[in-house]
Amino acid sequence: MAYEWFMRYIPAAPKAVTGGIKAQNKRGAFGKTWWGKQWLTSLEKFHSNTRLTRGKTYARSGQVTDLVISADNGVSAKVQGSRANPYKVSIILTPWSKSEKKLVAEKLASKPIYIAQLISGQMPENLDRTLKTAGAPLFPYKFNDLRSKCSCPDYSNPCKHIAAVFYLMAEAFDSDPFLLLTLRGIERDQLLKQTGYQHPVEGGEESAVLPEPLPTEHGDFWEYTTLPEPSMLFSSPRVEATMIKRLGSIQYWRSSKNLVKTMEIIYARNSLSAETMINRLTTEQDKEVSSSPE
Amino acid sequence: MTMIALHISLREGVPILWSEGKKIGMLKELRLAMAGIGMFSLRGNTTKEYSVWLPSNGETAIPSSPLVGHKSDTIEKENLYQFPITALRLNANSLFELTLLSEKGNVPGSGIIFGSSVIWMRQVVKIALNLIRSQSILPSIIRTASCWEATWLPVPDSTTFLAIEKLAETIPAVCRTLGKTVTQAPPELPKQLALKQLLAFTLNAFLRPAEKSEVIKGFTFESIHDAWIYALSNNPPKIAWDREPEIEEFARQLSAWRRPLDIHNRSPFKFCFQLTEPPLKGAKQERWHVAYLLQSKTDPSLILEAKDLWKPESTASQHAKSLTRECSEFMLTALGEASGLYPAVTKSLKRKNPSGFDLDTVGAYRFLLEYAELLRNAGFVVMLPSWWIGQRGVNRIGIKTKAKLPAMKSSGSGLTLDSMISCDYAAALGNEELDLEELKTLAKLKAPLVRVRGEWTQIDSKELSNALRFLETHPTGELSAREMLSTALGAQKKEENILIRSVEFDGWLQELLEKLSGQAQFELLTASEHFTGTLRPYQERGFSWLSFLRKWGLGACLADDMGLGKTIQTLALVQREREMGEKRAVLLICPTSVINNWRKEAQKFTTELSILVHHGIDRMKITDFRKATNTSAIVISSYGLLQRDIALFSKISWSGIILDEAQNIKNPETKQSKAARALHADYRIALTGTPVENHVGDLWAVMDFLNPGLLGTQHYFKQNFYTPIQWYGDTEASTRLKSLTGPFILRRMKTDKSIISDLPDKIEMKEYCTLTKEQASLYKAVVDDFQGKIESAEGIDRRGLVFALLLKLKQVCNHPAQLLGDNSPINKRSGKIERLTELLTEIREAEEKTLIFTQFTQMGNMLQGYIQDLFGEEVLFLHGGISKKKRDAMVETFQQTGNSSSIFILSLKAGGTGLNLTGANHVMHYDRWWNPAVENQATDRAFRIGQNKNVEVHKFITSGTLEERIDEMIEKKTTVAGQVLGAGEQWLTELSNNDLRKLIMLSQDATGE
Repeated sequence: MAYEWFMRYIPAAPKAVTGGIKAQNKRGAFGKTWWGKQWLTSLEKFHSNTRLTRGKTYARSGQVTDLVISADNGVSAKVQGSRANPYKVSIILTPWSKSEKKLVAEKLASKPIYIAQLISGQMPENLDRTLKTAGAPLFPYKFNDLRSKCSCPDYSNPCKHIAAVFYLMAEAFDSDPFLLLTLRGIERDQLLKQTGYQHPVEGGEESAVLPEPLPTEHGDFWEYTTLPEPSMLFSSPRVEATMIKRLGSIQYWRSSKNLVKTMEIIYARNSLSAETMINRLTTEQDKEVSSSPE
Repeated sequence: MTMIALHISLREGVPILWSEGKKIGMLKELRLAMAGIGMFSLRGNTTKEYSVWLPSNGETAIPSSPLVGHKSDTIEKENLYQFPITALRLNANSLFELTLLSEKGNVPGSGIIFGSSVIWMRQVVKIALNLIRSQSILPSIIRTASCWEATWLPVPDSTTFLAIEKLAETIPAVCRTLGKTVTQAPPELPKQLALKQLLAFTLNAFLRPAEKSEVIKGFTFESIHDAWIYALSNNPPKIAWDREPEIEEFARQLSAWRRPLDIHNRSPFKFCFQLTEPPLKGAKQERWHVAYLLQSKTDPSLILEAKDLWKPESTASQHAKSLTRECSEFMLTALGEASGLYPAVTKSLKRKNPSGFDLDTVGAYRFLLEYAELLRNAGFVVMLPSWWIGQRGVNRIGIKTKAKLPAMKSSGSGLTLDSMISCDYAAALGNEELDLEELKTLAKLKAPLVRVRGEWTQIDSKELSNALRFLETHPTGELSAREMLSTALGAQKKEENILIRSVEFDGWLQELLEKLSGQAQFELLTASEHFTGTLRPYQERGFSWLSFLRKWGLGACLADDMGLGKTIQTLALVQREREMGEKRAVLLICPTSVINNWRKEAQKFTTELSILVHHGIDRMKITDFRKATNTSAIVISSYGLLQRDIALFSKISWSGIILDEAQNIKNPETKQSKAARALHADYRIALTGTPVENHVGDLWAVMDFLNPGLLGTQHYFKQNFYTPIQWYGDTEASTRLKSLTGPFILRRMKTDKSIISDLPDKIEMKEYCTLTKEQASLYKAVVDDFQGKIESAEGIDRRGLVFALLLKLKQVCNHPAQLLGDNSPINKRSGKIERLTELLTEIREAEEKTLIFTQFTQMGNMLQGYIQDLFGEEVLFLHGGISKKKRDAMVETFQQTGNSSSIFILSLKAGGTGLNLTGANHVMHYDRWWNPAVENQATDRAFRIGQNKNVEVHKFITSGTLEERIDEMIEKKTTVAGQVLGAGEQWLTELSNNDLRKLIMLSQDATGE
């Protein structure tokens, strides 16, 4: 008996994974944005137990090795547990029907703010309410709107594996709220076309670059017009790696190094060495023939 | 005397360096050139075979420059032909080293010239470095033919974007000329693509070590992300990850991740917000409008309105569609981003086809004050009404000073700029004067934006209350005349947190101001009788101007063109000062090379004044120096000594300090600049031939020397003038700077209409040069060697010896290497060479042409090589050994306008007669024939019909040597010179031993060291 008791309270540690997807959030609650949080409420409002805590730990330590979100198949993921092979997790949010999709597209097209915010990384505040009123809610409200499966032997749903995937998705939604629409079965480009914001192009891809022949006459060939030197006078950035910070981390990040922090170091180092080189060039320019000694 | 040219061609973005010498792409010549310019980083690099397409007549390539070789005379049909080359791939190190070398000019070493591609490449390197410095880059991934690589992409801001576009247009053809090994036709690489590949290469080269990173065997990365990060800053950039589908998925993720920035980057437009004022009349008086616009990145004048762009059939839409297919998506993304910053945008997005929004006055004020900046920082363009942009600098509340001056004329005695003047104060908003009551009314309104007399303007409540408080407590005050004057000229002074913006005065101060700013004429003087030169009308004006500023103790910068006689104008002032009772000496600082010139000119024009040259090793120490200065009118010394003997100079009370070639103190950090500014004197004059006013950064030190404090501290100057003008092109600041400094700078150019009519058609100048130490000791050795021999010889022998002696001495004066005949280096070994270099540099800057005459073919050859190396342009040399046909070709080349050959060396015998070389307006006689007729005839090659400029003749004379003495003899005996000198130098051989000794003796002032 003592043996069983022991087994029940010290769960087997999951098999360590290298290169799994690591949540960038290292402590506290997941879901930085209100829509990320709202996504998690559908998980957390029903369950508040150790499985969720374990799921968070899984998400942070990189137990999730694969995660794909598609409009056709919802979420499919692999999570490494204590067994040799990873478990398969799938999460499906009931896709909108054809008529619902049409309705959603109409609603989205009614006010430019919806698309504008969605494609620039924000969730329009009253979009969910508008869609809910129209009868095609974005977030899962009904229990059976969201179906999740895991191949692990745990009878409870969500198990820690499903929870881990949930947390990673919350993080993905934070930076790209459009993924929620993807889960409902609408792709970004498709929506832009349907709402009239992307025009079909005539003549294929970007216009091809035309070949430019060389001049054949030596006067033209060797002719050269100098441009004024580019201005070298702008100050170094006050914040390191601004662009990276603006973009945030890359989704489903697998390295144990934090992307933004690593990039900050790389940018700062290179910026500094470029500045040193530029200074060398400028001092070279200013070097004048020193006056002859007396 | 041909040079080796270095070129860069591109191979899929990689710069390849090759040489053009006697042959195209010959490895031996390339290595020779590398060694010649000291590029060592390439030493270990392996070379590779390539081929380039070059213009050719079918057999040989036509040289890129006449410095490399001459085009053969036979005119064949030109076409591009393929030439095999051996070349070097450049990496980050060698690329940077090459850039450093090219900063100094296009001749990096003797006999080596950088082709245009190397010069062009330098700008690419600079742009790449700037992108890295400003962190305008993003990491990415790219699939090459063999593998996946980590790579960095440039994300230029709009200014840099435009610079890159322009740079692509000027790419030298030679960059695009590298063909694939087996091609039948020349490459047709598009310019933009060529630069894009090159920039990508350069960027990535600088972001990685040049050496291959060490690979630990059997090491695998934890994840593809780890492999990618590693590959981003290591060499090679290959991503060590073998699961292909994962890399592909990651590439997709990366592009999705970058999309919000990419869409801006890719878009041919920038998104703009434009604020417009409410109409003056009507119901919408309070309604401001912000419109959404798109502005073309390449052509900022092309602006499309959002309200048109939402309609697919409009002209604007059609136009946008021709440039991008993502126009709507771009607008939506931009608006979505802006909505996160500015709630008004969010509101506008609730209606279809958003084209902008309206604001009330408070809203407009917040937009101007906060959101404009916020949006700008996020990468949007914000267009504001011009009155707003203008008033951020000027149109603020300030204090106006109204002086209470006795209405005295400036002739009144005892007036100095240090006298204190009492004044009344008033408030001013822009140009409008406001009284205390009006100020109080405005303060009651409490509105940030008000319409004052029809114009919208911002009221800073803090400034308003500061002004109120100031006026209530200071109805009147007192300021020095100097302060008032500098404020009137545009200097800004703060008094109790409020700017003194303008002054209003009358009487003598107003009179002075008008004269300073050119609204009134200063008193015109004529030079004193004792001044032994004649001033031309414009020189008289210059001299009067110097005297006018001197009278008020203001510093003056005389910046006339070279050759207009800055020296004579200055000397006229010194003479006048002495006659007005000045007893103290003037200190004149000039470059070593012109010390003798100054001495000579002073002796000529101010014969009564005693001159002291403080120079050389045996110069005086303090006690003697003090005594000597007491009895001298002018003390001449050099910049080098200014800093070394500053302790000595600062102990003397000078009447004035004159800096010749004052650009020598432009760098305020140098010791000589600090020394110049530390000296005390009643007046200061700076002479310079370079337009100081065009180089904002150089202005401060010269102005601070002339009028200390006028431009504020160096820090103040940097913040209020240098940075705004140089970085932001602030026209308001540059106008203010001009009005502040303009009164103290007088610059006339030879091309000014009023000057041309004043100038004689031909100006002769003597260039007095010094001997270097080496020349002086050689000179002495030659004299010692010959003297005994000559004194013991007679008749024909003696005559022969005298001729030989004169020849050798002339050679020493010309250059030691001419005497030694040893092909030793030229630079810095001869006083004449130094002076010639200075003159040619100035002439080339003025884009004028020069003839140089010498009697010696050998000297001509030396000069040709030296000057070609110096300026990297072809220098023509005509001597007796040149065929008639070639001679004609040279003359034709030289006479062409805009041709690159601006310097023509002629041997006096071969080129002294017959030719028409009116393209030149400078004639140098590097050595002398001692026969004015022969020299004049040579001068007439330029000075003849067809010449439309004034001709300047520079005759080189080495001070303290036989050159100076023979010149003096000719000058004194001009009337008999024709007879005596008719036979050339024959008469010299007839001199007695004693006379000969006097003639050749080396005097004290000969050396400049």
